[in-house]
Amino acid sequence: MFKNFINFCIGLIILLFFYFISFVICKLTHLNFPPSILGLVLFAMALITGIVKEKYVQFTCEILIKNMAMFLIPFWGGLIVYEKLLEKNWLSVLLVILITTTIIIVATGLFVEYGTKFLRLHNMREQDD
Amino acid sequence: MINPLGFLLTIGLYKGAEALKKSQIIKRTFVIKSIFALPPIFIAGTVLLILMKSFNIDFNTYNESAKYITFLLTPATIALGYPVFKYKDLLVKHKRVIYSAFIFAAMTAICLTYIIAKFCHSEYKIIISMLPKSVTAPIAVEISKELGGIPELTACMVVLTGVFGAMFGHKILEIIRVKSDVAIGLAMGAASHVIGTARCVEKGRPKQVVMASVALVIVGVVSAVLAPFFVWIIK
Repeated sequence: MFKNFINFCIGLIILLFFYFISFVICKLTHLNFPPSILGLVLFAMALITGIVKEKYVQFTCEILIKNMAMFLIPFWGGLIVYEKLLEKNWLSVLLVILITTTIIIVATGLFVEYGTKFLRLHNMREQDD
Repeated sequence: MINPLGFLLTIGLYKGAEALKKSQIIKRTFVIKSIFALPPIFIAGTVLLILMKSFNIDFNTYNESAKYITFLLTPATIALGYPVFKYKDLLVKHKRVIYSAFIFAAMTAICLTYIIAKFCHSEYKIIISMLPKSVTAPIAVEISKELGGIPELTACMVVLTGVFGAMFGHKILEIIRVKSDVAIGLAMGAASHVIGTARCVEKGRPKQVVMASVALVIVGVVSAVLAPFFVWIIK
């Protein structure tokens, strides 16, 4: 239990360190980009190049990703403040969710399914030549 | 002394919903079954709203301690880099289709959301908050803040999108005869992010899970780059 806690803290410090670096980069370059996403990219690159060892962050990452939904609940509570705004716009909210989600699923699914098939044929033809 | 109400309420509701979903205590009639098919975040969030409304809990009182939970969203976003690292081989293997699909999905999501919202005469602030709705929540909240939207509304939209996609995604893909695991995983990850990915886990297809988790991260990053441009154009 205690060992897990220490493990978690080490990983958390590494992650927050990446946030700090990207925050500083964004501030210095006046970049209009969310720092935590820049942190994500830097973190993935650091893992791939081996600057950060996988064993230090694995435990923390797995726990954080597994419980990610929980960190969102306070935002649901915050909806109470925007009650009136939602009441006025509920139809567009609903329509946007239903239509766009369906179209994205259909479009991406078809795109990848036939894209891979097309590329496979293409590669075969290249090999034949 | 900080009022611990929000902190305890949030963790209690979420863990409670999760435990209820797994337990067999309640007799499963059809209605209860379909309620439990919903993700725990949806149940916990709705119960929280009902509780706050009926007991007249002020949001500031709640958020006094709940904000420490929201704080963890930042390291959680950065932690999403981990699945990219873990499955980098797959990314190299399918690189051409995957990258074009990511950009395609992110652009469709942003443009369609804008067109439909504009068609319904929504307010500008609401449109902006809805733009990043197909992206995983921590990234979506960041994008929304950056563009001047309402993060709370964005978070709710993200969850609703995820719930809808997770519940009907596999059915829709079956109807249009998409069968490969790569395509299903990518579509689920791109359209309904973490909640869709969790659904792929339930289906027990590891390849779908991998593709979905990679898709949700990269579509998120691509959207974060594209959304400010889009807003700049429509202005």
